Amino acid sequence: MNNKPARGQSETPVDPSDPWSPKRPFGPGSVSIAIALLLLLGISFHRQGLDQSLVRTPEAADQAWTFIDRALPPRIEEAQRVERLKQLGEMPDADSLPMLARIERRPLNPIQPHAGTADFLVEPLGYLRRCVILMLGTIEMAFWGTLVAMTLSLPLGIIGARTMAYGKIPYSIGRGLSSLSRATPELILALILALMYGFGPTAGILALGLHSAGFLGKFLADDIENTDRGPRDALASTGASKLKVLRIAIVPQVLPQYVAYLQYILERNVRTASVLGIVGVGGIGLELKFAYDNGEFDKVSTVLIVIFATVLTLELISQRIRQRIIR
Amino acid sequence: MIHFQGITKRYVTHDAAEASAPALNGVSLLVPRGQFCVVLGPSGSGKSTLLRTVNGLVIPDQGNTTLNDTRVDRTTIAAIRRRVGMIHQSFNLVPRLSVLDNVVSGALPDLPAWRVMLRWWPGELNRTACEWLARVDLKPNYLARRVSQLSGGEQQRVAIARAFVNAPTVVLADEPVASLDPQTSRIVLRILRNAARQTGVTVLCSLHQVDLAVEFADRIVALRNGHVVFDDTPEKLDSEAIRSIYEGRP
Repeated sequence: MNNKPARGQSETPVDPSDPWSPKRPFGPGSVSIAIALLLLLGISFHRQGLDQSLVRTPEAADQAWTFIDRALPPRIEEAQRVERLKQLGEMPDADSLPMLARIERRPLNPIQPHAGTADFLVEPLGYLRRCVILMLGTIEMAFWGTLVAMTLSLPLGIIGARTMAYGKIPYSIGRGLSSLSRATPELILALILALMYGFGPTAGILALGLHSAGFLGKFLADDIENTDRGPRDALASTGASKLKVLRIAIVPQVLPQYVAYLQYILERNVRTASVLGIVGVGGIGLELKFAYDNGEFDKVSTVLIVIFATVLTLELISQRIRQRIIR
Repeated sequence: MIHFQGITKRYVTHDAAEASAPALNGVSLLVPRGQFCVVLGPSGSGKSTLLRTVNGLVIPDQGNTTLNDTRVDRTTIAAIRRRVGMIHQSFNLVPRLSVLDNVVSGALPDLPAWRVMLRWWPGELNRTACEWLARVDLKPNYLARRVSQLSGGEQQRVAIARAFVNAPTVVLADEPVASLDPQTSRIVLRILRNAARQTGVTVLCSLHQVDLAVEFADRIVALRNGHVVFDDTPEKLDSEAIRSIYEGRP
């Protein structure tokens, strides 16, 4: 008989002489642990400077207003000086201007109207279009990253599932590699990979793939371990090989959840790929960094809106797909 | 023909006090071809262990089991399992697969791996599976249904079809009706016995219900604490014998 109390329960019965008396939900031990944890939390709050920040919150709110004031309305149009475009040799002929584009005389600096005027090539939807095109590249990067992650996660998940019984060494390799890849941040991976492949989408794709393979591999291994034993044992007892049992008894059980994870990883990779641009692997992140560094917060808000719209759209699409697959 | 010769099996437990009693203690039996042999006995009497020595899910500590003159050991397990079908108490079907796929999965070892990967079954196997579904009284409109949508009795009939689809010589039924109501139990056992009679398959079936054992068995073997305490035709199983099986010697 196992007489140990359930976890989280105190061993002291309310009345020790009565064998039927129920156990207390908590005792002096758990109360002192709770107090100690609260104390630690308090010390850490101070160490992190959160107490001072709390005092400064009204000031911080003012700063937020400054940002919002400069970020709104978001930049939609693109205006480039004709003179500069001519220098670069990128000025289109007057009769072959891009769609909706026009040449307009504008002040050189909107804040100082007396500083003079110049000709500008104005594309009313130009900046938005640029962001959308950059976003498309970012989505492609996330998609390839997810594909790499999927390919790597299948072997990792299968050998990392204890119930597949491939032995201790493959199990440790599967679990270990999954943990390692999860523990390495994408930004670091991207920087290392950029040394190998140069700054470009390849480094970004591999960074995303290697990092998210760890998540997918771990989730897959856990799911395989949690599958119903019965069907697995029943098919194994017919003499079917491990691979066949995997295909017929385990894949149908883990597939719906795996597809759900895959969709989450894709969504997450879109978000991360947007940030990865900052370290120079291209995509919309680089544009975000340029705009921020130049203090063009109206451009920043356009980029953020495009990212937000993309993630939202992706979520809506993936919900539809999930409903079809997981029945 | 199944021949058990002096089977002893002791499970390794972490509790030293429990380790003393073996699950099977020198069990010897000869089950001739085509017999429907029911194994009775209280919980923990070694019924499942005995059944599992036939397809090598349990390897005995002493003694051995031979199946048609082939001894069950690690070198012969793979070949023997192809000839032994098994039916389980909790059906053990793959819930998200169709009825047809579940029946066909009884023939996995003899199929090429690429067919299994694509779940693309040979036409002949599909026909055999359909014949078996008809024999267990399931309708053609069940073929594409998921087994999770079926009732317990229907699921166990699918499991019977799965056990028979690969033309076994022996079918092991480990408490096949323990989770079914009495009426459904009778239907399932009748289907199992008829399938065995028509194909000449030997059935070793453990049961908890004495009345069902008497109704369907050709022969009843009873185990108590790992020993055979009764081995005769159902007619000889009187109330005194039942008492000795479940309560020990009076």
